[in-house]
Amino acid sequence: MGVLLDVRDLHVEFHTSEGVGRALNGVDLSVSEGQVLGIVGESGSGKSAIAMAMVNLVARPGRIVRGSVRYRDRDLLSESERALQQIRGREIGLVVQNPKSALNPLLTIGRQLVNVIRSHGRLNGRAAAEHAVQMLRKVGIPDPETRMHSYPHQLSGGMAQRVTIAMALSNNPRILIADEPTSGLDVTIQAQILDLIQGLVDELRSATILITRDLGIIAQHCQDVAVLYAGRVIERAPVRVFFRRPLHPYSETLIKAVSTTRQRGRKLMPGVSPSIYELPNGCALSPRCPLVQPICHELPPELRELSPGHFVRCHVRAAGDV
Amino acid sequence: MAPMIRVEHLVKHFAIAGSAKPLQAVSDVSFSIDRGQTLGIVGESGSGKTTIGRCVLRLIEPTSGRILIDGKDLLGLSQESLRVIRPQMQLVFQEPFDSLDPQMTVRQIVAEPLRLHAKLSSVDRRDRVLDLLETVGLPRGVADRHPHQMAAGQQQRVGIARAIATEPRFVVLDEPVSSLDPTARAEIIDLLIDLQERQGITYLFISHDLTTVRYLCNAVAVMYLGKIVEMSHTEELFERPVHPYTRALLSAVPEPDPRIRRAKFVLKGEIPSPINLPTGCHLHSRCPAAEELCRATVPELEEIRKDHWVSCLRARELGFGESLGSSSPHGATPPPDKQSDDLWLSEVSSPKS
Repeated sequence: MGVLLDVRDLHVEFHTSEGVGRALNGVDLSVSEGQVLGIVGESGSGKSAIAMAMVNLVARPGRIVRGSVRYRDRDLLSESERALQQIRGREIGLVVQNPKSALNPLLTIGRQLVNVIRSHGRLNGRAAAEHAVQMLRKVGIPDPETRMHSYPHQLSGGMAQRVTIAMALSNNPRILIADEPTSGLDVTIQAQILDLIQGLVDELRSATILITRDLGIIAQHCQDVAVLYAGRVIERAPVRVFFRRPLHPYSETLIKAVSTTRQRGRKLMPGVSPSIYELPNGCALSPRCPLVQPICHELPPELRELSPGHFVRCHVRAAGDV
Repeated sequence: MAPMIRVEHLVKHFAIAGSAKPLQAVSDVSFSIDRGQTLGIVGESGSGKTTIGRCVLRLIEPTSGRILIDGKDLLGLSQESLRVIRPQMQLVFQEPFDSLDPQMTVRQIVAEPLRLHAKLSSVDRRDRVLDLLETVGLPRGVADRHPHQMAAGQQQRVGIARAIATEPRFVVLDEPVSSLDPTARAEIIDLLIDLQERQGITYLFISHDLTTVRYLCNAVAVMYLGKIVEMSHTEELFERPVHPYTRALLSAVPEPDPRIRRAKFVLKGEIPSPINLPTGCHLHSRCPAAEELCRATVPELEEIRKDHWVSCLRARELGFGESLGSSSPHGATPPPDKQSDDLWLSEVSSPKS
C-alpha cells in the first residue's frame, strides 16, 4: 500500500492589513491508497487552508511559503498551472463545503459534468454525456437524464453536493479531498452523502482526506485521524487508538466536548484558540493548557511517535508524564 | 402545579405569493413543559420547529390553537398586557453575531432589556450588567468591546446574558449552539444547564443536533413536516425509539465513538415541500415501513406507553428499537417478523481496523 500524497512542512501565510496570519505552520501528512484520513479541527485551525494548499489553490492574500506536496513522483507546489490543471479533476478530486459555490450558476449541471469529463480527454461527445448520466445515477440523483438539464439553483443543497461529488469522482481520481462535505446539510442527508463517499472510495480505492469539525464523522468514517490546532498537526493516530486514549490535552477536551452522557462538572479546557495573527511563542496551546510547564512557553514541541503509529506534539506527554 | 407552558392544537400557515395553497409550517401541535424542565424539539429543515418557537413567544401570530404561559392565555392578551409579560419570556438565537447589534458595545447590548423593562438607576444598571457578564462566564473587560472583537462562543454568551437580564422564567433556545465549534458548543450547553439549575428557568430547546438534545433535555419531541411524530422522556426516546423517522434520525447521527456501529435505517429521498404535503402519513413517501394504509390514513399521536407518544399507524407492529447508546454493534435491531424484509437494513458495517 503505497503513499499517494505526502505533505511535508507545509506553511501557508495570509498577508493582510491585520499583519501576517500564519494559517499553517509546518504540516506533515500522508495518505495511502484506499485509506481514509480524517483531519479534525475547529475554526481557525487551518483545515480549509490545508485542503486548498494540497491542490495548490491557495487564493490571495494567502500564499504557500514553504513545504512540499508530493503526489507520486511530482511536487505539486512546483508544477506549472497547466500541469496542475491536468492533475486536479483527473488525479485528485476536490469536494468543498458549499456546493453551490463550486458550481457555475450559468451552466446546466449536465454541461458542467461533461466539461469535466471531456477536459481530461478520456471521453468525447456522446460517451462523455453517457458517462455524466451514469455518474449522476451513481450518486443517487433520481431521473438523471432530466436532471442533466437542471441549473444549480434548481437543486437542493443535498442534491448540489451529490453533483459536486459526481464531478470530483467522474475521472476516477486516485485521491479525493473532501472539505466539510456535509456541513449545512440535514443529518439524514449527511448520512446519505457520507455513505455515498464511503461506497465510492471503497470501489475506486482512492486515498481520501476527509476534513471536518465533527468527531462523529471521524469515528464512523475514517481509519486515521490528524488533529489540527493553530496550523499544526498536534496528534495523529489510528482512529480506534485515538478515541481510546487521546494523548494531547487538546484532543482530550475535544473528545470530552462531544460526550453524550451528562457528567456533573465536566472540566473542559478554558479559553479559545489563538488568532493566526498572534500565535503564542512555544506551544500554541500553552496559554490555556492545564498541563503547561515552563518549557511550553519557550519551545514549540515536535511531533513525536510515542507508541507505534501514535504521534503527539506535546512536551509533557513526550516526557512520559502521562 | 400547572406547567410553565402548555401549547394546544397549534397551527401556523403562511400565505405564499403566487401560490393558492398556504405553506403549512405547523399542523396541530400540542405539548407542555413543567417548570424548570427542558423540552427539546428536534427536526430537520422545514419541520416547523423554528415557527413553533416564534409562536410560543407570540413573535408571530398563530393561525389557531392555544398557548398558556403560567396558566395565562397568551393569545388572548392585549398588546399592553403582552408588554408586561414579555420580560418573563426570552429568546436566544442561532447566529450570535447576526443577532447582536454590531454598533453597540457588549455593555449596551446587555443593558438594553434592563432599560426597557427594569426600573434601575444607571449605577444599578451598570452593576447589574457586570453581574450578568460574570454569570455567563465573561470577564468584565469585554464590556466595552464590540461583538466582532469576540469569538463566536463569547458572542453567544452575550446573547444569553441579554436573554436572562430580565430574569425570565421561560426561554426559547433556537439552535443556540449549531454554528459553534464543538468545544464552544459544550461550554455553552454547560452554561445553560448551570443557569437552569440556579434560576429554575424553563427551556424550549430547538435543535437539529440530537447529541446536544440528549445532553440537555428532559423530554424530546421529534417533528417532521409540521407535526410531532414522537415525544417522550429523553432516555425513553433515545433508548426505545418507535417511529421510523425517529429511528432514521438516530441512526443518521455519526456516533463519536468508533466502537459503536449503528444499524442503518435509511430514508429514501428528500423532505417534501410543506406547500404540497403528502396525503396520509407525511412520511409515507420516504418510509421503508410504509404500507398502502399509510398513503391514505392520517395517523394520530397516540400514547403507546406511559408518557411515550407516537404518530404511526404501524407503531405497535414495529415495536421499540433496542438500545442505541450501548456499545453493542447492533442498534435498531429488526423485530423478528421483519428479519427477512429488506426495508430494515440491519447490516452493520464491519469495523475498520
